[in-house]
Amino acid sequence: MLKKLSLLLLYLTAFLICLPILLVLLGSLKSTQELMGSLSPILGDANGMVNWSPFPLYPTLNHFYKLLFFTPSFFIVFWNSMKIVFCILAGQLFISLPAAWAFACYSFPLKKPLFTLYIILMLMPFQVTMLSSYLVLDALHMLDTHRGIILPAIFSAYPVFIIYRSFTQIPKSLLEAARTDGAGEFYLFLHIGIPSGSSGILSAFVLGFLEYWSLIEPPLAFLKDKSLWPLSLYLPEISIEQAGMAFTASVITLVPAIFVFIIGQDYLEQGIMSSAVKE
Amino acid sequence: MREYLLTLSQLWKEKKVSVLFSKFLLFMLLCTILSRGIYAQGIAQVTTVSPRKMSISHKVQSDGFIEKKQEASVNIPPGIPIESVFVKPGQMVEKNTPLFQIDMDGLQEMIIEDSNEIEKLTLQINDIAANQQFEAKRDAQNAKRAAEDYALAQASGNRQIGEAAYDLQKSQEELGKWKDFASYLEDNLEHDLQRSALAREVERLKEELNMLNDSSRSISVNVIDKEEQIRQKKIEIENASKSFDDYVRSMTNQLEKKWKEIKENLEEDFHAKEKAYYDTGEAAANSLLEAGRTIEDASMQKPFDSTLKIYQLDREEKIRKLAKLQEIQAMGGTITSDILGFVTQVTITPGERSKDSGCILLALMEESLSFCAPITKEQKKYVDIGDTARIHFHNNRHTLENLTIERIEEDTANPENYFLYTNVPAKNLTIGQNGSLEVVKQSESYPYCVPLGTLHGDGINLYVLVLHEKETILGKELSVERRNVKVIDKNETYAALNEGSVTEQENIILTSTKPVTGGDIVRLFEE
Repeated sequence: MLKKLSLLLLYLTAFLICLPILLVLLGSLKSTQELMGSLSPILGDANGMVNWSPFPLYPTLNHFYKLLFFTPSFFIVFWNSMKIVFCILAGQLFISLPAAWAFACYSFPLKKPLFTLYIILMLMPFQVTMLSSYLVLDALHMLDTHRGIILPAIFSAYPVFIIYRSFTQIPKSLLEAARTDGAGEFYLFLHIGIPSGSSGILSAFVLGFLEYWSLIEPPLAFLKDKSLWPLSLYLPEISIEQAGMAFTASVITLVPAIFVFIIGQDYLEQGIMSSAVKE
Repeated sequence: MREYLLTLSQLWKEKKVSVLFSKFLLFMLLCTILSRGIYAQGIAQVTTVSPRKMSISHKVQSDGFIEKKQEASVNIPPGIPIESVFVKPGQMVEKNTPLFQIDMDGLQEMIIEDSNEIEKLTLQINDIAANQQFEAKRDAQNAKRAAEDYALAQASGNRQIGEAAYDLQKSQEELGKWKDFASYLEDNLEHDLQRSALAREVERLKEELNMLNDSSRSISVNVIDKEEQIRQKKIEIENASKSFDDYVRSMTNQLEKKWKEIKENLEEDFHAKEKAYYDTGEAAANSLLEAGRTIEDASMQKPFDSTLKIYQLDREEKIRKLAKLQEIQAMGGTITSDILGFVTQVTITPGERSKDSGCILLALMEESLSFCAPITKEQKKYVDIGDTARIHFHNNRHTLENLTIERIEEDTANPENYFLYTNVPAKNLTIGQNGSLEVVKQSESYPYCVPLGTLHGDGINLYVLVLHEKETILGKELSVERRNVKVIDKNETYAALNEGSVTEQENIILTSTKPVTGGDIVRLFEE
C-alpha cells in the first residue's frame, strides 16, 4: 500500500514536472485564434486569468508547416545555436580534459588553491563576471561575434570539475603500472584516462550541451547583431500573434536536447554516480 | 554475458538514437534550404534609381496647319446682279485676273434707280431746310411775347399785393383800435338820455327824501304823515332805482350784444383781408410762375431732329454708290483681282445679286505665312511668346527649325484651349498645309529628379518607396520605407521632388516583380 502510494506520488510529481513540456507540445498543435484567446490575459490586453484547455479544439500542424518551410530566420538561429554548442564542446575537449587530467593525476605547486579557484569560478554566476568579460571581449574586438560567446565557455570550470571526479576514479596503480611498462604521460591520458573516464567526459558533454543549448545571458549581453542570435534569444522575439510559432519553435528546440539526453543518459547517470561515490 | 548483451543493446540504442539525431539534423538542413528558397521566392525583386540633379524638359507638341495671315475681300455694292463667276475656292489668282462678270442691263437699271433716289432725297432735303427756317422765326416771336407777358404779370401782381396789404393793414388797425366792452358801455351809457333822465329822477327822489327826513326832525311836522311820505318817497326811490337798474341792465345787454357783433365783424373783416392778401400773393406768384414757364418753354431747345442730316448722308451714300456703279459700268462689268492671292471663299453665285459682305475673299500671298496649332491649358504653362519652335510638315517631310512663337490666343469657343501662332516662310508651303509643331523648354535645374515610375499614389498624395538596409536575423536585408513627397515639376518621364524628401544617396524603387508596401523586405533584381 505504501509502495503504491509512493509510486502514485512519484507519478504525480513526474507528471507535474513534465507538464510544461506537455503544455508546449499541445500548444504547438493549437490554432492561432485558440492561443490568442487563451493567452491574451498575459500577452495581450485582456483582463482575467489564462483560460487554457488541455487539448486543442482544432488541432493543426500549420505552425510546424510555417516554421519549417516559411521561416528561414528560425534556421539561422538554430544553426547558430548548433555552432555555438558544438564549438564550445569541441573546445572544451581540448581544454577541460587535459585540465581535469592534470588536477586528477598530478601534484604541482598551488594545485589546491588553483582547484579551489576553479570551484569558486564555477560557482560564480554570470552576472558577477559579465562586466569584466565585456571589457575583455571589447578589448579583444570580440563583441558581437560568436567567438565572444564560445571562447569564455571553452574555458569553463564546470566540465573540468565533472571530468576530474571521473579521472580520480582511475586507480593510481594502473597508471603506475602503465608508466612502468613505458607508457608516456600523453599515452596514459589518451589510452587510459579518456576511455576510463569516458562516462564522466560524456556526462560533462551532455550537461554542457544542455547548458549551452539554452544559453541566454552571454548572447543577450554580447550579441547585438540579430543574425548571430541563438535560439534562446529568438523565442522571446515572437509575439502573441505568432504564439503558435513560439510553441512550435520551443518543441523543435527541445528535440536536439532530447536526442543528446537519450544518447548520453546512461553516461550521465554513471558520471553523476562516479562523482558521488568516493574511493 | 548478460552485461555484454546489455552493453550491446545500450550501444545499439545509442547508435539508433544517433542515427535518428543525424537524420533530424539532415532534415533541419533540408528545411533550412527549402525555407530559404521559399522565402527568396516570396520576396519581391526590385530595380532602383537614385535621385539626380537635372532640368525637366517640357515638350509641347501639337498638330496644326498653315492659315492665311492676311485676307482681302473683293467687294462691289450690294444688289448688283451677277452674270458669271470665273474662280473657285483654293484657286491661285494673279493681279488683274478676272474674278466675276456683272449683268450690264441690271447694272443700268440700278444706276437709273439710284439717280432718281438721289433727286428725291435732294428735294426732301430742301423742303426740310425751309421748314426749319420758318420754325426758327416763329420760336423767336413766341419767346418775345412770353417775356412781355412775364413783365405784365409781375407788375399786376405787385400792384394787387400792395392793395391787399393796405386793406389788411387797415383792418388790423381797426381791430386794434376797437375798445374793450367796459369802455364801450361807459361811452354809450354816458350819452344815453333816458338813462340820464332816470338817474336824475332817482337823484331828485333821493333829494326829496332827504328833505323830508330833514323836515321830519322839526316838531311842527306831523310825524305820521311824514313817515308816510318818507315811506312813499322810499317806495318811489326804490321804484325809480329799479327802473334805472332795469334800464341800465337792458341797455347793458343790448350794448354788449352790439359790441360783440361789431367785434366779430371787425375780426371777420380782418381775417377776410388777411386771406385776401395771401390769396392775392399766391395768385400773383402763380401768374408769375406761369409766365416764367412760358418764357422757359419758349426758350427751350427744340428736340433733335436729324432727318435732314440723315437725308443728306443717304444722298451722299447714294451718290457714292452711283459713282461705283458708273465705274463698274465704265469697266465693262468685269471685276478683276488687285493682288496676287489665294481664293479662300466665294460668296456670290451667277444669277443672284451681290451681298453686303465681300464677294470673294483672297488670302494674300506674302513672304511669310502663319502656322496655327491648338494647345491645352496644361500645355500653355510651358509655352511663352518668343519661345523657339520647330514644325515638321508631313506631306513633303519638310522641317522648319528656329521658329518663334509670335502670339498665343485663347480659344473663344473653349476657354480651356489656346492657339499658338508662328510665322513660317511661304516658300514651298501653301495655305491649309498640315504640320506638327514642337516646342521644347528646359526648366531650371532641380537637385532631386526621379523617373515617374517611382511615384505612387493619387494626384495629391504622392509617395516613393525608398530602400533601407535593415538588420534582421537573416542578416542585412533591404527594407522598404514609404516616404511622402511633393512634386514641384514634371514632364512625361521625370519628376522633380521637393527638397528634404529624398537624398542623392538613397535608392528609390523603380520597378518590382510584386506589389510592395512600406515595411516589406525586398531584394535587388538579378537578371
